Amino acid sequence: MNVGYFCSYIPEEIIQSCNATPVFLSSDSLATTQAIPYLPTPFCPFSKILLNSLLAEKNLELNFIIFGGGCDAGRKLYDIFIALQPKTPCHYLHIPLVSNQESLKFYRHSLNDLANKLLSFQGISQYNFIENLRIILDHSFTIKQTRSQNFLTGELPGDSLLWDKIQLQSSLDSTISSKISILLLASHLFVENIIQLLEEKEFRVFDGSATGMRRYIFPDIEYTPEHHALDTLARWYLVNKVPCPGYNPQKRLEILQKFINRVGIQGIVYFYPKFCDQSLYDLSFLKKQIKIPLLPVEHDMSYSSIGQWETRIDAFREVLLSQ
Amino acid sequence: MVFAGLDIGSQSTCVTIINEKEIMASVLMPSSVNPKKIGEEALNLALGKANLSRSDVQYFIATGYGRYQAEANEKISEITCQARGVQWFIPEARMVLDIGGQDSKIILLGKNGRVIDFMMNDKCAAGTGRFLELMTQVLDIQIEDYGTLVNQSREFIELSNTCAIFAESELISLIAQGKKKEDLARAVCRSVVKRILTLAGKMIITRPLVFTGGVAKNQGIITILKEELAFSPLIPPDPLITAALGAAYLAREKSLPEP
Amino acid sequence: MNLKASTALSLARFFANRKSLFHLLAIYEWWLKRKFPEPTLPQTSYQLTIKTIRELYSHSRPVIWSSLFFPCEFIHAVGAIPFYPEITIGLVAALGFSNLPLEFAEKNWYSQDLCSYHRAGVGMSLFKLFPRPDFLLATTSICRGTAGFFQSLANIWKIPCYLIDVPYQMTPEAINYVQNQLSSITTLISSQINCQLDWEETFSLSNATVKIIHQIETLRKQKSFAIQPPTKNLDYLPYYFQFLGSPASKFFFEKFLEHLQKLKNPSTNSHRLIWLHLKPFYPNQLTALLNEYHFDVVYDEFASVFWEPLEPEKPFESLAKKIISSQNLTVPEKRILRILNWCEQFKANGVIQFNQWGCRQSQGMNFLLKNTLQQKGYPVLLLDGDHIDKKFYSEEQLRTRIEAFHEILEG
Repeated sequence: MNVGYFCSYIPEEIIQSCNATPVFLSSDSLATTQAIPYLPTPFCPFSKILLNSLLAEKNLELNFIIFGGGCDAGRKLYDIFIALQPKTPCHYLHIPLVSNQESLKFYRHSLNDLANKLLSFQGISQYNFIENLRIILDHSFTIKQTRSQNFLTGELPGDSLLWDKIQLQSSLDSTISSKISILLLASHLFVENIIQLLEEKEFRVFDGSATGMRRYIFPDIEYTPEHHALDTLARWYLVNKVPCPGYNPQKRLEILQKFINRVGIQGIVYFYPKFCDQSLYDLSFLKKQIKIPLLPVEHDMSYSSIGQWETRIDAFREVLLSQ
Repeated sequence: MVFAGLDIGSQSTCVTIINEKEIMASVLMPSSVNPKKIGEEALNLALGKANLSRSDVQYFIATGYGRYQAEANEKISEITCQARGVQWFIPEARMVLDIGGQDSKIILLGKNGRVIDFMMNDKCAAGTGRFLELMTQVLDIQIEDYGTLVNQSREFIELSNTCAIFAESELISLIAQGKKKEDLARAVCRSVVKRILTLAGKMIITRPLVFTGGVAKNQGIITILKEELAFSPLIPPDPLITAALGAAYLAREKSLPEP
Repeated sequence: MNLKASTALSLARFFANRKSLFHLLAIYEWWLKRKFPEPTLPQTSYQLTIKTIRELYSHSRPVIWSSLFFPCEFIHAVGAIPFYPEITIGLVAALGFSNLPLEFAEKNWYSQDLCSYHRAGVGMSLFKLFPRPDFLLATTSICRGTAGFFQSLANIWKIPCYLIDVPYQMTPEAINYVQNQLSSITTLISSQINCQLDWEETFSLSNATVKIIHQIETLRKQKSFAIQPPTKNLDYLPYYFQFLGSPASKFFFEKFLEHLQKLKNPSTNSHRLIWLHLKPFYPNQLTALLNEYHFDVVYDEFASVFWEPLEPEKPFESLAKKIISSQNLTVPEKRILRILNWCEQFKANGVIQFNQWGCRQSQGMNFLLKNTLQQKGYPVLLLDGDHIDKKFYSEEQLRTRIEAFHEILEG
């Protein structure tokens, strides 16, 4: 069973424990034609692209779709999708915007609900699910902990899907130490192309996007096998994960600042989607709090403004070089 | 030694040629759909004016949106070039407000003249020369008339819409209400200035502030800008060539040994 | 900002921070009561406004800012003064100067694409013209953008924001979750101020007020009855949100009911509309146009009672249920069902919503709303614009759309 999801607060471990295959949703196509009649103009472009894919590509061979996210657009995407395709099995996972004892308890309960729904499709018992989860947590913990430690020291900048490629390129590039190090903050989609563009402009890019830092980095992750597996999972994703924009801005700032200081990041490039409230508030907060230059680049998940991006990126590079 | 700077913008293309001491020639012409061709044409015209040939040019830098189509030694963003060009005329400049035909920029400079930060609006007509042009058609005036009309204005009118489409509609309503042309012209100029100053407000307005771009020749805008800033911005002798001049200046810097 | 505006702002800020000056308003209030012993509805509202300004700016009690759907009964019960920035921004827009805080917020990196209620609230806070909060309380119900807004306020005012995370569905776990969050907040507030926690009186007042609101609704269900001018009821938002649970709200609605019962001229307008969401608060031609085309607004979504009577024996549970119930304004199947019921009960023949540019949750639902309602035979008019930022307002476009809608209903 293929289970599609797109929010980094949806633990893939839940899906794996239900003997299903997690499919992180992104789209090769940036088309929005099919979604346009259903979503308004001032609306998250990622939602439009995703809806377009889900409608146009016959659910990408997905058997189940998990919607979620801490934003209004994510919720409305779910509402529209179930109205248009009521027969497609799907579920909305509520992600608390706060991180405290009560929200942890509720998030754990929500994860349990999600698991029960998946289990009803798979015909697996709750007992087996918990056992599976325990094994997966054992395995997952080591990887997450190692990657987190490496990320914070800059040795392995994130566990992006791209990092194998980028690491290889970096090892071949003898002039890497002379390049300007920047942290890229961005949401889903586009990231590969943006990183490529930035590398062409002679930057050394650390991937802080959704497909990079936010999914795999859990700075203060802990694991005690005797604790209930779901409690552990809830804690990892709600408390230990690097907060996404909109979730715990202060903690997010502290982690970013720590990373910037440890690695020697010289600037931040923030590629944010138009009409994304979480990113807009995040940007306004970081712009005032972070002491290194920050270049905001707005996009609508299309390449129509690539010339304008290049002007800004070139100018930013020139600013950083002159410092 | 001779150095050249080429600025291929969306509306105009400019080439400036300098030597170690002075501007030797400058050419400004409308841009075309072929940036490479227009760049070469402008360069040739400028060289002709200065009685030079291409081989005389020691170093050549291109800037502007069309810079990647030009065959130059180096391509540098118009932000850096604009800042440098302003410093040719006003070395102590700390902030540049550039309002062009289709975009506007604000550049913050450090004490050493280097760019510290910048803001751009190249997505909408609000706060650009285009807005002024569109409204001339509604008001049935020439672009040069803004200066005189603003000075004649007596009634304060505020355009609430910054979007050119909405503003046009709002202006038509105000005309229908019998509002005077001079007061409406002032409202239009004020709208452009307020838009750019909102953008500039994201950094701190720092003096000396230099006003460049095609709109820097518009007396109406200059008057309103002085009122809103409560001080007079400095305007270079030729505010349209500063980006190309800056490119040439940078070309010279890169070629000559540091003093 | 030019010198004139800058000077005006400095003066306004100077006076806004002079608590003692606002104490003097008590004399003005006393004088108003003497002059108008039997106040009319507008006079009642005016007197209550003066009293609120005095209390807020003189800081006679702790001031708690909260988001629109945080229940004010909680704030009244703890003995604090509620301040709803989103409502007050409507007043700022009505006074014609919302452009100033909007511009200032934009200069401080709050994008134009964010909800203008929130942006202007940020701007007024940066100006320090709003009364300083002692606590910031918000819920994520209806709109998650509120969380970003209140987190920004926390940074500006340098005090923590207490955010209640609200699930979409009313389940026992959800009630428990919200209830526990409320309880935690109460503990935190009690540790800092002397809390009365007078649930009995507050809930009793709230419930009694709701009964009066229902009586007003009964009046509005009459075929020939309509509050004039159209959308006037939305000007009374503070009484539906900020004052509910206090004697002021009950008093106001008693006066309002009395006023409506005395109305002699029935409406002759042929088109009865249900009004969704809020409206543009800056001076505009919307009301004039609705009148011109003979539209009455017979019910307003944001003036609806979406919760069950509050029980003082179970205060946190009651309030938790009230908070979760507010999600009925954003969960499509629930919202649309309520609208259909109103269409029937209030004998409406159309539905109208003035879109709020930065409101993702309401705009995101427009397709489902329009599609479902039109299938049920109710034409829907969606007007594009913004409630606080006049930059998005175009009178000619508004006229064209209202005229076209009128033609649809006539047809």
